[in-house]
Amino acid sequence: MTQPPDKQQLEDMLRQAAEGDERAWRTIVDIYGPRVFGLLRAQCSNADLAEEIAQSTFCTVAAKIGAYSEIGKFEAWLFRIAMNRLRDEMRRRKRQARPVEDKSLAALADSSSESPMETLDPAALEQLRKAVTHLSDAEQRIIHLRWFAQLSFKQIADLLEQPLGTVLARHHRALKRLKETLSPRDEESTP
Amino acid sequence: MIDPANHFFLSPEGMSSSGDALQSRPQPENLPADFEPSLIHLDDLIGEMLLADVDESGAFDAVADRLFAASVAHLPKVQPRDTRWRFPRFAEAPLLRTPIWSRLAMAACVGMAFVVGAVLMHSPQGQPGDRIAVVTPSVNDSGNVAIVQPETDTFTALSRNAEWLLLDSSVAYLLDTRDMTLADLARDIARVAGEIDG
Repeated sequence: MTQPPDKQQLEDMLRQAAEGDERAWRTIVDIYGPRVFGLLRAQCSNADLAEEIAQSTFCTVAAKIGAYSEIGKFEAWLFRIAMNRLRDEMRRRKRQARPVEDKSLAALADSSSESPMETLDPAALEQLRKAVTHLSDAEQRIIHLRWFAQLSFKQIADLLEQPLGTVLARHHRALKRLKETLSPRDEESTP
Repeated sequence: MIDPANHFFLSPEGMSSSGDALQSRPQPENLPADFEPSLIHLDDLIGEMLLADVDESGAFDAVADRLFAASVAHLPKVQPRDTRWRFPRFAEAPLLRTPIWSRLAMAACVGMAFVVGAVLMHSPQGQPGDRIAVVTPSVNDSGNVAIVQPETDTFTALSRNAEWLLLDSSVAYLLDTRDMTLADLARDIARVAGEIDG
């Protein structure tokens, strides 16, 4: 993923794109396209649907970028559109975002011969994957927005329209639950 | 359950093998300082795992290209500025963007202006109320002056009065200018100029 630009660079690119500059728009898509797609894919576990919604999101942003005026809130605006599109699409299709199936994750793990984590214990990684998928939707959403969208907790709170403290507490609770899930229990370790 | 001795989730030392990879990843906001180190470590590992899973699935391949191709046509089209003046098209007239009640009020004003104009145009010059008493000075045998002529039409009275005023004033000579021709005027000016030079 391309590293995000600084504030001034982003504002310049947005202004140029609003004037129809395709090169500036290309840079914006290069920076944010994979992040939006990664977030959507993590949320819906369907690459095709994720790309479809990502395309719809970027079409909307391109069409409205001329009227965009919220300085400094582009990321929140972009990811809010993406999340709303995903929610609407899920409602339209009348199906819930399915958690990643263990088999597909296992296949991914098996095929990850060049993974940077290949030296780690695959069984442990698999256990972590499972544990993450067992978190609540709200907790997973925060983790996905943090890692795929690379939003700060404040931005996540704004996007989800929740207090910052709630987001932080939810994230902390998720990590603690994962830790407890992954930690060997005393009663099991004692004969 | 995982062997606690090799439990890399909970021990930062266990991350040494992937630490370099983490450095090359996009790093989100740091967790609050009061978080336990093991939770911070776990959070890093989750991020590493999620991003690696998506990367390795090939899902990111050329996704930006496809997103760009699909969305670039929606960018605003900036037309080259045409400096030639054009009569504004009716469809672009600001009037059509105003609310309906505003347009009706404007139409009523225009209609009323037409009606008032039509009434004024077809009315005779000088209304019955537009009459004044005109004093026509004359001197009779007993030496009295100011015979009052009762009422007359305003327009006519003003014209006559103006004539009389001119006749009986220090600027009466201006009346002669009515019959002057351009040649007379030119000759007079030439004469004055000649006197000044002489």
